[in-house]
Amino acid sequence: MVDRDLSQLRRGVVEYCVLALLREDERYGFEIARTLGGVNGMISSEGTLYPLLGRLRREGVVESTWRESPSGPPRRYYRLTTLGEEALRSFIAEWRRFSASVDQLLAGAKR
Amino acid sequence: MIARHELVQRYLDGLRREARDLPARQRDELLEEIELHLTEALSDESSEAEVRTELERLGHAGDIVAEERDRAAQPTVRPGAKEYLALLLLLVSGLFLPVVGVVFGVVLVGGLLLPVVGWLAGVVLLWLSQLWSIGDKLVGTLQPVGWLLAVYALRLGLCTGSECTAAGEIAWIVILAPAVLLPVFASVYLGRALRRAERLPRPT
Repeated sequence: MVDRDLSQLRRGVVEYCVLALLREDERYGFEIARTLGGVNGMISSEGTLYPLLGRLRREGVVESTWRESPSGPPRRYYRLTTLGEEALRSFIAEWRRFSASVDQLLAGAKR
Repeated sequence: MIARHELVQRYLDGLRREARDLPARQRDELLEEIELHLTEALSDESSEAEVRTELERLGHAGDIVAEERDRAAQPTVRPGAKEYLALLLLLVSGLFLPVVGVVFGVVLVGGLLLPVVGWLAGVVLLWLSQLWSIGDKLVGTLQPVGWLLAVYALRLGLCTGSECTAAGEIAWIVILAPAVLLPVFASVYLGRALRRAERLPRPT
């Protein structure tokens, strides 16, 4: 049960982590996959990032452009749209409130 | 280039197989991204061990496609009662309008009232639906009208006014009878258009 709940929680949160990665700079898929793959427990495998990126693009929170790469074939770079920036901003505010409340309750339960 | 590596080729083939049920555009984009990923991760000089490690990090093809299905967010509009009722009404009224015309030779108000109302209702539902294109809607709307015009144009050619010889009546019916298939064709066409639309994700 805990496993299932945690994977649901992760699924909900990981898309905002992708948006957060794109906040400063545009990035290409491989870069995002490596970064998220390097964070413990964020995505189950690097390949599962791409369905998520596809959905974010269809929802209009990110957009992509092709750019030449210094080495090898062109890369598809992703960046936030205005809609994506707004979504990220409201998630951050909500997440801070939510995680603070959860931390407080969990600390209380220990005592 | 990178796809030349046998393990990579096998992996991509497996992914393509797993993804065959996805909508074409979604499948192509997913495959393209995974290929790009592998192109970044590997080079022609990569050893077999390196290739294996990269494919492992990417994860099972089945898991990626399962994720794609879950993440698709279902932006599709599925055909519902509106679409099926429109099809039924258009088919029945499409068949009925000309048949009534052929059998009775004249427009009987009582006999035509039902098909006409049914046809109007069908057309309204047809145009309310988001699943058919403008062209589809025109086909659905115009087919019984075109049919009916043909019936009466032909009758005008064969008969004079309400006077018609028996031979004229028979010739008229014989020529027009196969055209009864027209509403059937139109319904099949609209039904197919519906199934195509169901498979294509549309922006909400």
